[in-house]
Amino acid sequence: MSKRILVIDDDLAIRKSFALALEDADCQVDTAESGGEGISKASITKYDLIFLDLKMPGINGVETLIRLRDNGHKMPIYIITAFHEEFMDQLRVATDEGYEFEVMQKPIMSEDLISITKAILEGAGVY
Amino acid sequence: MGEKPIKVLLIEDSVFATRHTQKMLAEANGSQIDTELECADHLSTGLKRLAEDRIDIVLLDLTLPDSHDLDTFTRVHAQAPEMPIVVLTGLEDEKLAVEAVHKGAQDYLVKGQLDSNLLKRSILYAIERKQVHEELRKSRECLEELVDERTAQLKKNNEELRKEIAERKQAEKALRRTYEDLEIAHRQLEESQAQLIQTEKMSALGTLVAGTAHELNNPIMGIMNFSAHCKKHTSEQDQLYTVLQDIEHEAKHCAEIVRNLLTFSHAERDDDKAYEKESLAEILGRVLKLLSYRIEKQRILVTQHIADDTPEICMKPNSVQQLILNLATNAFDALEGSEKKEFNVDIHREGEFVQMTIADTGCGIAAESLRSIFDPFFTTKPVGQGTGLGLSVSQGIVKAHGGQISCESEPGAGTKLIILLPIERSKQNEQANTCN
Repeated sequence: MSKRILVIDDDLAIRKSFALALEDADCQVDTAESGGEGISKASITKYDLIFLDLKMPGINGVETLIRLRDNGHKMPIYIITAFHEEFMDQLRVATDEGYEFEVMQKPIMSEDLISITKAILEGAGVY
Repeated sequence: MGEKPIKVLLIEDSVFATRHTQKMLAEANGSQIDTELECADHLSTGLKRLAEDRIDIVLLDLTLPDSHDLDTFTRVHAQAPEMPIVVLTGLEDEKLAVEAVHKGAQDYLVKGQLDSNLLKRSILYAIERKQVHEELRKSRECLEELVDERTAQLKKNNEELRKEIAERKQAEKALRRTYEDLEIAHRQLEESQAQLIQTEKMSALGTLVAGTAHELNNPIMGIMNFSAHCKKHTSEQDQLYTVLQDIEHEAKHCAEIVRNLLTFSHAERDDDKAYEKESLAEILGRVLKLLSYRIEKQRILVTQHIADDTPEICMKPNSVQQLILNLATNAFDALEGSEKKEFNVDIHREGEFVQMTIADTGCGIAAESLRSIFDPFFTTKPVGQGTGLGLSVSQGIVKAHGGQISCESEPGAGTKLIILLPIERSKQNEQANTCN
């Protein structure tokens, strides 16, 4: 059975990038262009992995992360960032409060994306 | 003449001559002249009389029992320099008499050619001449005094002037010194102003660059992945395959530039948690390993001198690795065209710092470019081969560590970059004590 992955990013190019790369890796990819849309999609479908952008209009990445975790979602969440200084402190606070997430640096090449995704999902049973 | 008679002293040993003179004077008395004659028959008695009381004129015979010739005149003149003297002489002695006149006698009379009129006139003229002479002398003395006085005054004025000149010179010197100080201060002010402008420019540029880089990140990631996707689904035999490869390659180049730009804008910021104790030599080793393919390809002779007592330093290892990587890459680029391909790194302790000198034998940097090498976007490399950020980023990293970076270069001979990094973080920079 193919894994379901949600990509939350306000940038179409990023969403498409992820979809193209991950569908090649035999994953089923859903996309959301805002934190709100992502949260509602996650409440309907059970995802194995979420890629989450930090800088988005409306609910930003950190806020989205917190709401997802507060809603009881335990899947791995990867925050894709180019290290915006303004979010680093918020991420630190989130870490201190026990919210779990991983960080990946933009830009990410499709082959890296695929290998990372495979590595995460192979150990996904833990979550 | 005045109310008083003229007192005439006749010094004469000849009784005859004395009597003759007495007679002539008596004849003359009453007509414009009134004389009173006293006589001395020796020089000694004459001189004695001169010293006693007022005498107006001396009639002097040069040949006396106790004195002869000019000596007689000299002695009288010496005792009474202001006294009019008329020398009486015989015909055979006229030469002597003329000499006496040269030495200050008022007149001479030849005995035997004398009459009362001549005697009278000679006495009157002698007194008058002496008076004129005296007045002249006095006025000359007065003049001399005046000249002396004036000279003294002049000397004094001169002295004052000289003093004033010295004072002015001193003041001028002080003024010049003040002016020089002012100029230095002005220059420093200008420099710090230029630095301030530069800092502000850089900060504005940093913000702009960071913003732009962030904006570019997503589209670049898109291009990279779209081209990768197309490439994956295109046969290697397809003509388009190499084009897609090129797109991917160029997109990666863009991503690299963006990463550099972001590092550049981040380098100035300080994150204390990222600091740890590390050995520069170890990081250098890592960088050389990363660059080993270039070292082999370019046949570069790499030498390292690392002093045994070099301590570990408190640093952001990733930043320092980036720093060394940038400098080594620059050095290798500089070695491209040169015959002698040597790359040398020296690391040793320098007080509270560790000094790392990275030297190459490459093409060097022209003096006019040397000033700008740390400016962002300044590059001497061909378009497309450098972002012009490497050294700027490197300087940012060194500064964030509280260190210093400087460059020495000789075109055609090579370049030397000298980096000083503090062993401990300075108190100013230290917010979290993460190195202990």
